[in-house]
Amino acid sequence: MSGRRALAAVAITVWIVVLTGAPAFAAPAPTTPTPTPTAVAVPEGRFVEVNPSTVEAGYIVGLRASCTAADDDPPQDTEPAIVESTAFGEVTVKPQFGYLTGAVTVPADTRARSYRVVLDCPGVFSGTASTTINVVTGNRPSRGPATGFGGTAGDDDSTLVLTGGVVTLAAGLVLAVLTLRRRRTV
Amino acid sequence: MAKRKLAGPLAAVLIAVGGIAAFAGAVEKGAFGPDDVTPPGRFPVMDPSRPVEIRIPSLKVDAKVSDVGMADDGSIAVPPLERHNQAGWYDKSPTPGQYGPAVLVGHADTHNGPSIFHDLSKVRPGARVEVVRRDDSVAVFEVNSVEKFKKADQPIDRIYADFSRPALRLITCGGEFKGGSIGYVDNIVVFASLIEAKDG
Repeated sequence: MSGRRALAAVAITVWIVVLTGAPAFAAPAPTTPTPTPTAVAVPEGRFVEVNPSTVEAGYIVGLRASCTAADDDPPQDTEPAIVESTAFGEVTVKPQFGYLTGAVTVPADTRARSYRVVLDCPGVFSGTASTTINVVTGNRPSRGPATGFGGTAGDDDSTLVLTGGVVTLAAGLVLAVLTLRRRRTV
Repeated sequence: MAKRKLAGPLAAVLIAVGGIAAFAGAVEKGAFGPDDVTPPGRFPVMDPSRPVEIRIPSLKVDAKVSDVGMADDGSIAVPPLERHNQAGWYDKSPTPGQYGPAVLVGHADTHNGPSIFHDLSKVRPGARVEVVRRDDSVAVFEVNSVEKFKKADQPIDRIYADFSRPALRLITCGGEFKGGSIGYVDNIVVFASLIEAKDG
């Protein structure tokens, strides 16, 4: 009885899978590691972030901050504030969609290292927040690296195999055509 | 008469052998490889920390990473010959896991045998590359594409200047071997993107 039922269940499952191309029973999906959404997460309370947090000297970065201590999503900032760093000087971030936002160019002559970025909120007891910006120099190679001495050069026989195969195949086809023709004419 | 009888089977054998060989050659060349993989929209970002080890499970590569700088000819320096089975992290590039392309170079071969990145051209899009960093965390990258460029004519911006997300570039030699000061004519470049950050 239960065996028959199980069989029927399997049959139905297979049928539905065939029809829809999807598993009939919503089996729990294998737990794939979800990427940590650090880049889009809303930090709690007062914060400042730089995007991207690693930048080549001479390029622009976006700043996003909030001076509200409350954990609102989005925060409700209304007053502009100052963001400061040795890497790019002082920048005013202004309210936009609840956040404080701004953009600044890291000067091309900035030395490559990590710099502290500090948010100064307006008011006496409003406090600060900080993060880090990593500056790298735009020191780009002009040609590819010399990464081989030739000890295995010529080991790749795929071209030989492919050419040989195509030639053999062609010879076989020609021979086949000739044979068939001859048979027909005889 | 005997000749004529043999011709039919011979043709069949030639067609079969030729077909199989042509197919095998094409497979070895990677003609039937999977398409390039688009990186996911969401991604982690890691704090800076220098790489110490690289693992490419699909190639059975597990090697130490040391720092390399710039060579006199304007190319990235490479690990010395006695460390041909190690990779070199270009110390002017971001560390693996930071925003931007972390660049790792490795030898394809020595004077008489294969080195760490000999089979790099056989990496498939979708394969995983893990980089262990000095802070014990592991940056997990997914291969997006494997491409070949002339050493003297490379898309510099695409390889070294894409700061839109944390990424990895693995570079080695490939193509025809000319020897002398030229060596191999081409570079194999693997483009990969960070998909996971594991704590150490």
